[in-house]
Amino acid sequence: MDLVRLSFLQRLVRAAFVALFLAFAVLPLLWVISIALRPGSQSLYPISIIPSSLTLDNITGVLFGPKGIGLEPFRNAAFYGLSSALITAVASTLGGYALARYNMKSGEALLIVVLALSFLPSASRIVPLFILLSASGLYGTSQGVILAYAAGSTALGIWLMAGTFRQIPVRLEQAARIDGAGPFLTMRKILLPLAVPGILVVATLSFIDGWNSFSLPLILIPKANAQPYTVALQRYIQEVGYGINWPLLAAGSLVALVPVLAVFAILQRRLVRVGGLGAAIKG
Amino acid sequence: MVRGAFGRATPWLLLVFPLLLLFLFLLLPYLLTFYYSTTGATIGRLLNVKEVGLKNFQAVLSSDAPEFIGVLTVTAIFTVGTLLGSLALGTGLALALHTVRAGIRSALMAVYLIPWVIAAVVIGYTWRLMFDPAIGLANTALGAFGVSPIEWLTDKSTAMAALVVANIWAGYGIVLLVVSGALANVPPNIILAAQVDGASYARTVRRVILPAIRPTFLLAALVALVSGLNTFDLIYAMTRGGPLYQTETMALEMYRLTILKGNIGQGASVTVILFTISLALAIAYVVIWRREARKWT
Repeated sequence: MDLVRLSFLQRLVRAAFVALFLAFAVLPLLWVISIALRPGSQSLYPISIIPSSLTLDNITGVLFGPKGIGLEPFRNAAFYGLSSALITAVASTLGGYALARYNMKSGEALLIVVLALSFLPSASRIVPLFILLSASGLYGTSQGVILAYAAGSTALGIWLMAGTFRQIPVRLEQAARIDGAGPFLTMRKILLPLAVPGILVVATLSFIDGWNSFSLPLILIPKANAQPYTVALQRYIQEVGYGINWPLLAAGSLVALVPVLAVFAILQRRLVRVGGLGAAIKG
Repeated sequence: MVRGAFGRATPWLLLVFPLLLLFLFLLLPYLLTFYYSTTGATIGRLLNVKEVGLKNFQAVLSSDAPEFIGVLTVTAIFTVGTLLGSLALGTGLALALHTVRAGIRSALMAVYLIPWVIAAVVIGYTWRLMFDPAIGLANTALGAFGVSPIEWLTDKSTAMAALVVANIWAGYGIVLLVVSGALANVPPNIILAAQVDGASYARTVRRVILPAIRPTFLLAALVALVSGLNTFDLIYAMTRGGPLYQTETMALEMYRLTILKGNIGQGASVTVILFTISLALAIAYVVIWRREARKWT
């Protein structure tokens, strides 16, 4: 039985509302795809959402062509995302376990402060990080950006992992220890396998953050060959006049969407479940 | 409780790496910013800087190109517009999906959440394309009704409207996610009881469902508020604060002063102002979050 009874009119309004905003959600992306997949000569005229002919020229153009940004910016973004995911996963697992299994009042108080800080989105960290990395000599290195992103995702990751570990019965661990397993063996054989779903979610959210990052690499990585696609795509926008190379910009954006959408499709259920709790992840 | 490998020190040993990471790359940068906001540091001179007291704040507050009050107004319009739009849309969709069968619901949810995972800067490019005077969907659609092309991003009010719409697109997903989570936790019994008592759907929503999710709703509002305040990527991709600072928010001002003008001191003082506003909201967030997290885990 349905939870609430709706009249015919209410169903109609609901259907219209859902459909209208479904269009709002997907039309912009369809427009990008449509521009990206049509021949460059048709990008100005005729304008219609369904191109009269399809081509992959823009995609290959942005990846391999003389005017393209090449594969490197995408490789760089993947490198930042994956490194940040790895560091976040390790730090969050360690911290989450400590919080879940040991009774530490001071540690928890400290982490509440950190959670508050992590809630501040990356824009207000641009200037502070620029100052820190310039003063410490990490300016222009990828380590600086990766560690900055990992730190941003770790505070929330610790909380999510603490939740994961709390759901694993402590008796499982105690049983393993009574059977003679040491703490490290218990960790490897009992705890980590059970915590994998949680770790996967934390790592995924961190990867998406790193792959999507723009403002920090824009400012912290001046070297063109180390920049991610988000920064590299800017070359298609000339600020003077309306010199925007839309076919290549749209094609580049489309390529950039593929990994996040793939990851999202695979982990969607889990992400949605913890996403509500981890509301701060996307600032 | 399980005895760790290193006795009582175990939890702290486990925390060394995460806490070090958080201290160095989250806390320390902010502490440095507070210090630098009182110095005359520039991009070329970060060490041995001169103390200038509150002069940077004075300079920022009394600047006339753009006026600080103008920047504040733009920030407020952008933030409040985004906040109201994404709250209304996210909550509306969550309520609509709540009454839909589970199978259809998760399929629709997946589509609605797509913008949530896209890079803010790509969202910026996407909407810049939508509002492109020549090949954008906005003008194409209006053109069908005989409206002549509009230069959306070069006029102050239409540019602000375009930015707000784009940021609502970027931000409603998180509200949908949070509110849906809360709706799933509302006991079906109280909803059924209201129906049995003869309450209409609208009345059930107003009197039973919305009060039940109030704390989560507040949480979603705070998230939307702080992310609106700190939006940088999207505005940078769409207008860069132009035309003539007309869409320059505090986040962009921070960037312009620090990186483009090279005035670290003034950039840091804008950051301090933005940080203080955000932190106050963040503390409220953590208080609510802690209360909610207990229910979830």
